[in-house]
Amino acid sequence: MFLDSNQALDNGAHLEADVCIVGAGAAGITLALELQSSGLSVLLLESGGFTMDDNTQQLYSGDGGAGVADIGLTTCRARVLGGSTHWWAGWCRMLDPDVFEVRDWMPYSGWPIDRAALMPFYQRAHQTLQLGVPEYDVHALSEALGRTLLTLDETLAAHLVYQYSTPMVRFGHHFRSDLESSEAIDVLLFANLTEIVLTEQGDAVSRLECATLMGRTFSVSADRIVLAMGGVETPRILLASNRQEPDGIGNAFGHVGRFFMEHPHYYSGSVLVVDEARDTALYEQTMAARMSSPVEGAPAREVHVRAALGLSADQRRRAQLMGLAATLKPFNPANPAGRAEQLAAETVGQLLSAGMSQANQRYLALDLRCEQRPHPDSRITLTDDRDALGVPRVRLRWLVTDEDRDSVARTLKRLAAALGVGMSARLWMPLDEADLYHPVNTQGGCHHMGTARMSALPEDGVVDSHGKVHGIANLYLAGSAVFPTGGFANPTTTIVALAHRLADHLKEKTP
Amino acid sequence: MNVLTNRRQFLALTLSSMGAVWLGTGCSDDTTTRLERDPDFTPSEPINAFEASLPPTALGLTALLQGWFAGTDRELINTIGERYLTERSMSQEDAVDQLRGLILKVDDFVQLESALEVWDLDLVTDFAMLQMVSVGGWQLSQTETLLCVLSAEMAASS
Repeated sequence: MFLDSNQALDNGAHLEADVCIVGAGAAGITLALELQSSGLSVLLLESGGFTMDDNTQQLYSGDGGAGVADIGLTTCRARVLGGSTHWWAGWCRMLDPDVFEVRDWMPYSGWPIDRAALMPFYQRAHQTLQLGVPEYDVHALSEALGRTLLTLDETLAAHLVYQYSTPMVRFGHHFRSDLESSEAIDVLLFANLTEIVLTEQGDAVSRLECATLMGRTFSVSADRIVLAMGGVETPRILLASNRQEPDGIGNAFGHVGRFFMEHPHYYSGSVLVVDEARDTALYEQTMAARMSSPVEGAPAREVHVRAALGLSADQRRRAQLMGLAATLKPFNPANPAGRAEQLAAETVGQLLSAGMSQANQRYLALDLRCEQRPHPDSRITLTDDRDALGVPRVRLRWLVTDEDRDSVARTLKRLAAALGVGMSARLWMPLDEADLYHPVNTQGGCHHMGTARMSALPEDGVVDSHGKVHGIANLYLAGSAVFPTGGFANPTTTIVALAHRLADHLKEKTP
Repeated sequence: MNVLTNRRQFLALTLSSMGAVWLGTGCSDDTTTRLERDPDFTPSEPINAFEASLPPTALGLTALLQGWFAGTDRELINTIGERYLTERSMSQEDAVDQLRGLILKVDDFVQLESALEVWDLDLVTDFAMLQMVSVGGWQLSQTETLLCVLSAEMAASS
């Protein structure tokens, strides 16, 4: 059932539920729907309504440009039912196994769970996201599609696969009727969390203070509270709730708001496809393949996929490199480096493409999505400025380090080598280090991760392996804020998988 | 066309569309090299001072380069070689040191194809071993780049 906080609640009202989830995005809605059959009453608080409105959206406003690029605090998130899936692009991929591992060469790496522990929940996430079978075998897909791949030395580099949520699951629209008809779930719209209040002992949440932009205030108590507010708002409210703990909730070891990670997205480098028999369409666009189900007797399903170039987990382990996926794109004015006509006119480009007709000269830009190291100084802090509800606004300083850049350059060289052995394409890298490492078009992917990291020990992070805040008995976090490392894959698949896992955990904890 | 010829021509594709061809045999409508068509072709050019600074070869550097770059625009090849040297501020002496190793691998071959196959394999091995050089940002194998340098130096000395 949906309720409008401005109309359904008296000022000063106090609500109670078994579970209160704050934030109706991918994590919050997945969790709520999973819990509805558990016998628990679920209260789902959403800041927005069914459609976007500017006043609500401005609650996000802050300084997002204190680091390498402006994160776009009000433009890449959505305070609306469904959260930021309101305008996501549907890219899905599980995190690779190495992302979960302690990488000796990468400080602060390692999750307290491994990929195998998450696999059953990734399977469920594929259902939630309408992905069909979890098919990531590029050769099987290429065969099913009747498309060739660029030949490369697969000891040096690899083809990677993304699946696309199709039809794209925008959670607010897709699950609206499920939420509306649920007897166990009350969705409270226009409900903004303004403060988390702890018990006197400080070891549990006593209540949530909430407000609407129309001036209503109310509070919520619940046996278990889950913050599913995203990688910026989650640390913001933890830091801002400093009535009892001056440094904020869950911040005894100073990790809240730190280790902010994104997936740096930028164009860097190009390929010239010299084997005219090789097809690049699968790297350039989404394609639908009909794949048999891994479940015997189950009907075949269509999967929507796209290939990318990168390294496999094993290759990255051996070379001590971070993840990167390079899709291919025709050049466009937004790409300042290595335009096709420049490359074609350049001496080496002329030689490499000699003998090919102009129509067959395929110069394609490498569109990169990169992993970055967790760094404690890449962080969210609070400012003295406050939003319309009195909550301090954030300043976000996103760092990209020399190690991050070096990993990109070394990965591109391996790609060049793999394509060179395979004789299918040649790779060009920008000469200017500023272009190679830090192109002017660097931007994030609206993937805000790491600011309330998961850890086995309280001194190493904010939440435990299930998402419970260390030292707080009834407070859980869901979403990409808890990722200790972010890999290169878009986070939604993992966000949803972790939400399924947390739902099972909360059900088990039910008396 | 065999695989090794393919690898070589990965860089040095036969130019059907370009006017200037090294061998001066005009346009070719396929990727068959002049040497493949005429295996007895043995150029006899005088050894110049630059060539004399390198190890002697049974086949002669001119023939080896013609075999490798068959049909490819000489100006382009030389420009790439010069560019490589310029980008690294490399003297001719330094270049000779690098070229010596390249030539020693093929110095006693009397069959051209056998000699070229050695460089073919080196080209692939370079990539496999990540032994690449950047020329104008293009990631090229060390072997193919040094062959461009050799061509440029031969032209400059002639």
